[in-house]
Amino acid sequence: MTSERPEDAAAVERELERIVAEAETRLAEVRRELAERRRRSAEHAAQHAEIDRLEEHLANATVRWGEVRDFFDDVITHLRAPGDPQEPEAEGGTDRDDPPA
Amino acid sequence: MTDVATRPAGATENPSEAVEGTAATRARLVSPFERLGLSGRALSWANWLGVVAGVYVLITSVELIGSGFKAATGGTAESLFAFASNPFVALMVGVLFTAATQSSSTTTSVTVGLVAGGLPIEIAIPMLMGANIGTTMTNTLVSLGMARDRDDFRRAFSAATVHDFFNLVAVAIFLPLELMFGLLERASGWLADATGGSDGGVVASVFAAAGTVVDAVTEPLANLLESGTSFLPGAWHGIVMIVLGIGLILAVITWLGKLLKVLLVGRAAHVLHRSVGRGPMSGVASGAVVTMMVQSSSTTTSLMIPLAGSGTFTLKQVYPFTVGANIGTTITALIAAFAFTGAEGELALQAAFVHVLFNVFAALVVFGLPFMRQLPLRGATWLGNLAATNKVWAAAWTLGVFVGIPLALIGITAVL
Repeated sequence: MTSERPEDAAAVERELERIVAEAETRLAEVRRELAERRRRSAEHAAQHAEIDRLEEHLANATVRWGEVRDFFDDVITHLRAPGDPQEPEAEGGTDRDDPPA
Repeated sequence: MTDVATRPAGATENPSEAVEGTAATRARLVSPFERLGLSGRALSWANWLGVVAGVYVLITSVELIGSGFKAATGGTAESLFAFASNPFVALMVGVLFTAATQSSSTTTSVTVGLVAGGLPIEIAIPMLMGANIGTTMTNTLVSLGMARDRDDFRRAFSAATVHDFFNLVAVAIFLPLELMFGLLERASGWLADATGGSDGGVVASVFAAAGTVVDAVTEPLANLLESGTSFLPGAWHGIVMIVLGIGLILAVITWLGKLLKVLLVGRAAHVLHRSVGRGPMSGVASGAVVTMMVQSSSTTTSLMIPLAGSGTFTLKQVYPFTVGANIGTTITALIAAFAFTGAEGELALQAAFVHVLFNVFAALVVFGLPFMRQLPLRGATWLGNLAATNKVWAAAWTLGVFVGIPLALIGITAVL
């Protein structure tokens, strides 16, 4: 049996802690990468599913004048009641808009 | 407008029950020939023959407009379009006409016919730019239908207006360049000379031969329509020919859109599937190809709105697709240019190339340069947030950009 000197043991411990910290950082990176890959994969699957319904989307790709009229009716109603704040809590979200590339 | 049949999911198909689609029903594309009872291979053949007939009528109509413009102006085309000699007015004419017809292909085809008939190219160029702005109204109107849910509306309105902002930025760059240096006029003139000129080599010979064949085929119908209106006096003869030509173009572009959507929906889906997850250039390419297939940028950009609204496609993914749609829609003007041969053919080709080059240059500069690329995205995100907070902004934008400002500019110029 050989006995380590205290200063050597401390150095080994520091080295082991560094390796553990590095491994944890790397593991976190890999987990993030995995989560991102899963998110992208789910996003692409959803996009492919929508493209599978292209015929339906093409058939619907037209102005629905009834909805446009309803929209402007709504705006006019809002303008006639200026005391009624319209959805004041709306803020620009970016959550589903542009995930990191 | 799309001819659609809708049915509850899982219900038996019945084309005779064609009604406008609602959210509760599943819409599908229906060929006009399906209503005649055709199916299978016979239906496919009928659809393709319908496309050939549609292209024939399109080219004939453009020819009719060219002849009508000549007859109406009696060789003094500038006088009829004197009101549009101000480039900003010409731009607004393009915006308004396209917004009214909801078809930039109609505007560009009509402009090609007018240029061949004597409309100065310097008036036609801002009109063609205006067509780009006007065509973005359709998807903006489609996005208004998603106003019930605030988040959906924010995403949908941003996805629609990124097209508006892109085209506005493109015009803000290229209209001044055109006025100062005649960039598009020179580049399109050179291209038209190389491909349609008398000394343009092999390419020009091929174009000329194709043009001669097309012209020979379409000439009889154009002459028939021309002689059918010849009883009208003086300039009215020409004006009626122009109106008839515009009406035919509008009808035939709708017709072609219906048939091509039915015929090519599978291939369009294949192109889109291949572009998923492949980056912006693939998005531009797929937007261009799908738009060429259905002959309508309004259709392709509108179909993305509900997909963006639901969050399935992000704004950054929709953006390149709309840039590609701008390029894809230029094919119609090129087809229309085959209505003419000789000097007229070269002028028509030049007008068509103006539309192609404007959209290609815009894609290269506005989308290609990283710092420029962000401008439409930031504008659309800002406006989407604003519109989601208060719908009045969405209404003001839609009415202002596509109706109010164009009418005001034309009105002010007319008064002054």
